[in-house]
Amino acid sequence: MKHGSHRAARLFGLGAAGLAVLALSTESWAVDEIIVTTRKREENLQEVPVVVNAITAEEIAQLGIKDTEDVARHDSGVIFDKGFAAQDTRITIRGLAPSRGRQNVAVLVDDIDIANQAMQTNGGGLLINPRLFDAERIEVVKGPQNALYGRTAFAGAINYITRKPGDVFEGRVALDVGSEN
Amino acid sequence: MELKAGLSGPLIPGVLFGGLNAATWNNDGFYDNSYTGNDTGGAEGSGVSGDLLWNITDAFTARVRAEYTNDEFSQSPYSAVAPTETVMVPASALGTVISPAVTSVLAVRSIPDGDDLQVTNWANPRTGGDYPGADREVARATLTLDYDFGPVALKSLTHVDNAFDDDTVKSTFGNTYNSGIRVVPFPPPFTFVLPLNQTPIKPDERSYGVRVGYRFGG
Repeated sequence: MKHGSHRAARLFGLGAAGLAVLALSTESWAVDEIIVTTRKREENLQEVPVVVNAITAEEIAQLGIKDTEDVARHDSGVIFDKGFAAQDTRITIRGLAPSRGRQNVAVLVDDIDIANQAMQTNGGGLLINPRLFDAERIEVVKGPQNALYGRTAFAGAINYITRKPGDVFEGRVALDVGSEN
Repeated sequence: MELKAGLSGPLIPGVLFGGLNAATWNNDGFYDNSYTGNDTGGAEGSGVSGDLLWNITDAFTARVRAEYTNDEFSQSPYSAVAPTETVMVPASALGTVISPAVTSVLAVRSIPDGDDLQVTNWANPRTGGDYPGADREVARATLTLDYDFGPVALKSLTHVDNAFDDDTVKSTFGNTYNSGIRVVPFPPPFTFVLPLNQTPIKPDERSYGVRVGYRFGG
């Protein structure tokens, strides 16, 4: 009888655990679809056959992403290296560092490549680190993407997609304050 | 501190849409310069962007976006790391690779933690304060035309920009150790200094902060 009650308890526990797992799995599949334009057309992030990390508007606001340096902090495989001079900047994706000459990661704003070459140092200068104040989405593409983004995108690309005006009136105000920053 | 705001919506419902965004930011810099007592590594600036989207037909849209930003960056923090050991030059290199007068060099075995370093950007002797940092001013405009022919879609991108960047390094660094690692690989005047004992500090922290956002309409 004692064993029987234990078995019943175990069965009950297993059943409850199974229901919980079922509930969890149901919830875990309820992921919002993220649309990216990595290949110049709108596609579901999960179906794009390239490595893309999409940072949504909500994540940009929550994480306080303000420039390329912040993007690198929140993306594994991307390093933003900065020397003493402000223009002494380099983006490295998957370890392919621009140790000579021009930056090898394309930085785009609405598909326009804004990456340039620093005059005195290797890498991309000041322009590859633009201030983002109206970005709707950031797409970090890893691996050679020259066919999509041109000659600079040898190691990958960071594409900033700005917010398009829509058919509904809306406004946004955001304030970010901190100490010792 | 960063404050940003945006407004967007239809100008002619279903046909023409507009948007306007603006932001201003001011970060003092996380580190203190031990020579001047001022914050360093900060940035301040402002930016504005405007957007017009025109649905010419159901299959043809035109979008114009213009942006202007103006930034000023203070100096990056810099610290001189004291040498931790003396490395003897191999005897076989003396006279052939390195001047016989240089029998040893000072070196740093490992870089200390950032908390143990002091920022040593020298003061500007003319002003007593910090040297100026860098300026950046960027204006850009993009015209995007999208044609959707059903099975085929065409996109036309036209972009114009004007960027100004003044980033001449005007400063000097407090570093009393350089004289100890001067290496002469060839007879003078081919003399250079190995930057073994210098490392930039990268400010990316803050003690605490508040981030709030409010969205209305939509």
